[in-house]
Amino acid sequence: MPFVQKHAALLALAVAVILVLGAAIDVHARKNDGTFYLKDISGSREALDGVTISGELSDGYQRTVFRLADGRLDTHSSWNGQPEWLGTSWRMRTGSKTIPGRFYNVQNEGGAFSLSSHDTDESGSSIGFFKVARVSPPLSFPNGALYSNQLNYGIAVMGERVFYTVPAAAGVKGKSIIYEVNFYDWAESHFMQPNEYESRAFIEYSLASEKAPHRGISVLGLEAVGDKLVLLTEEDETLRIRSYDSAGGALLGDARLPDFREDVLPTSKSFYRASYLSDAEDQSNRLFLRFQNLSLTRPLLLSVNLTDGAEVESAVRMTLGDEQEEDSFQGFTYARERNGKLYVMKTVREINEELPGFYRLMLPLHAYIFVYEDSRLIYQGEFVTDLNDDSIELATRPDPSRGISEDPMRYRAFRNLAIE
Amino acid sequence: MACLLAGSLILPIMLINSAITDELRSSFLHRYEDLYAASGSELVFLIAFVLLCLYFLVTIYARYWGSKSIYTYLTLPVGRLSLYWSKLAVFAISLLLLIGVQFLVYRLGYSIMAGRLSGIRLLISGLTSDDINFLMNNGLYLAHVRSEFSRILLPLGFSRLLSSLSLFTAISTGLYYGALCERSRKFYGFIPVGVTAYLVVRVLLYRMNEASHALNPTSLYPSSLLLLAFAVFFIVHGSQIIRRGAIA
Repeated sequence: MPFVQKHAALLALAVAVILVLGAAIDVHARKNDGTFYLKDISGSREALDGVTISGELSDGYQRTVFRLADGRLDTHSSWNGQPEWLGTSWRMRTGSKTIPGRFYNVQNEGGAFSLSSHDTDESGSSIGFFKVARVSPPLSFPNGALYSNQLNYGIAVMGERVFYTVPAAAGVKGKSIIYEVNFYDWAESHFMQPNEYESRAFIEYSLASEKAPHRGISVLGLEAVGDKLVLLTEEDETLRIRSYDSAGGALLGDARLPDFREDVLPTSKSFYRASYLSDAEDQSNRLFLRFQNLSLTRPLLLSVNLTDGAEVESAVRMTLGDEQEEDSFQGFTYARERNGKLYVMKTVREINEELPGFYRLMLPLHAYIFVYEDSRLIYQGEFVTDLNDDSIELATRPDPSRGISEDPMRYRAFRNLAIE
Repeated sequence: MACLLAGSLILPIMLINSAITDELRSSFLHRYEDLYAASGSELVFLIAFVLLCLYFLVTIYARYWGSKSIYTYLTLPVGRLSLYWSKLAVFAISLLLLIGVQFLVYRLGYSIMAGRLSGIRLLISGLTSDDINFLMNNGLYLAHVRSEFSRILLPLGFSRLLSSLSLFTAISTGLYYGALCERSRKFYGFIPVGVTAYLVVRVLLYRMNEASHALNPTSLYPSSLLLLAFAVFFIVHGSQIIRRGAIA
């Protein structure tokens, strides 16, 4: 006992240091204790040879970086000293795509179509004054035929150049035109002559079907890939993909996907929703398209190669698992064509019809990797992670009326995906 | 002192336990870091911290009251500096012990929650622990990393470590220096102490809300270096005051 009394301060120091260091070592040791592995579901993992899939599962406080190279998975976990702002998971889309730092809106103003360009900041909200433009294509809309998609699906952006065509529905008469749009400051427009803000008619195309001229075509949207413009239309129950040169407007390629029907609000299961999503990979001249069907369980994935004309390289009509659906809230699909195969990373949510709507959003998400060769599934795997643990607090919430959070600071999500 | 430490260990655990009971009753399970904050355990730590500071001041002034032992100490043939350092060291060790106990509380509280979450059935949604695992995998790690409070006591990364260390040294040396200035009637010393207190509050406010500063983060190096500079000044001038026996 005299020893304890004599060295009380030193003993207290030792205890304090042990407690503090112990906690520090303990936390550090648990850093890599999260679940993260690849589970094979079908096919052989050899399908992943020669390709690297990387990304991170992160929230504002910590992240797990993963790298799946030749079928071998490496993960590395770390924390952020200063919590990081990761942006909202919700983005302002212009039609089918997200344009970094900008979004476009289109309205019909009595025959003319008025476009506005908005700059966005990191958080996705609009900042500053916006620019406007106006086009008046010679179209007439008989018998209630109007548009086949939201109006801003007709916008394609190529650097500083902006192109627009009206997504006219089948039955619309007149001449359809792809304009090169001339934007000007909204505040100055009152002092300008009409010819000063006119947009240039760039490419003309017919609104009549080639095979059956009495039937019209539906214009789904316009995309930009590298220096090419891609016009997507539905005609004669096919998806027609035309590629144009952005310098002179010459037609470079024309491809068709058979057995394709779409509608703005489909009523039949065999129809796809017109509101597709696109992702352009400029350096390889590829355009990736995703259409959803009515029930969100049979998406259509397309990869179009525009290097030489236009060619549909892969057309995958996916079938999700029995009790799974696409998640329009947090889900994503990321696809790349490598070594003649289509690699897809996709999150899918479980369905439980018995649960009330609110609780369905906290049902588990599954992150899958699909590999397709000649549009046939040759491998499916799943990243098994702790992603769904973040929703436990939602699962136990008795009162859904308070809404649910998708705060990227608190909820983990897959980010920065790349398939090389 | 022992009572204080025991209280800061037992009281939060009771609070956490009753917070879990409340949650199970309302079927709304928070994450552990939120539960910990909501239970009031952070407040208990703050109160214990303030009490410890007051107790330290009391031990300084006790040397002037009653036994007036300070005069004996100052006339003893040992270096007066050892008087300064021993006092400061005891205070620093006590603070460190309090922080260490806090980690113990965090951990025990998590174990209590983990234990009570198995085999339960929620009243309203009817979910049971067979349907879904109510406990996050690797949850203690995540609770440490995601809790602002925990990240002040257990800093992640060099800049946070430096910031926490500078807070620790500035608070402990500043408090002692303040008392020495008062005893030696050098009231101008309250100016640097006041500035330090202001800085400490600013840094703590920032670090208690780091997530909401994520869009416009501020570097913590200037404040840390400034606090350390003040701490060095407090030590140098404080020990000078003692060496000259100005506190008698």
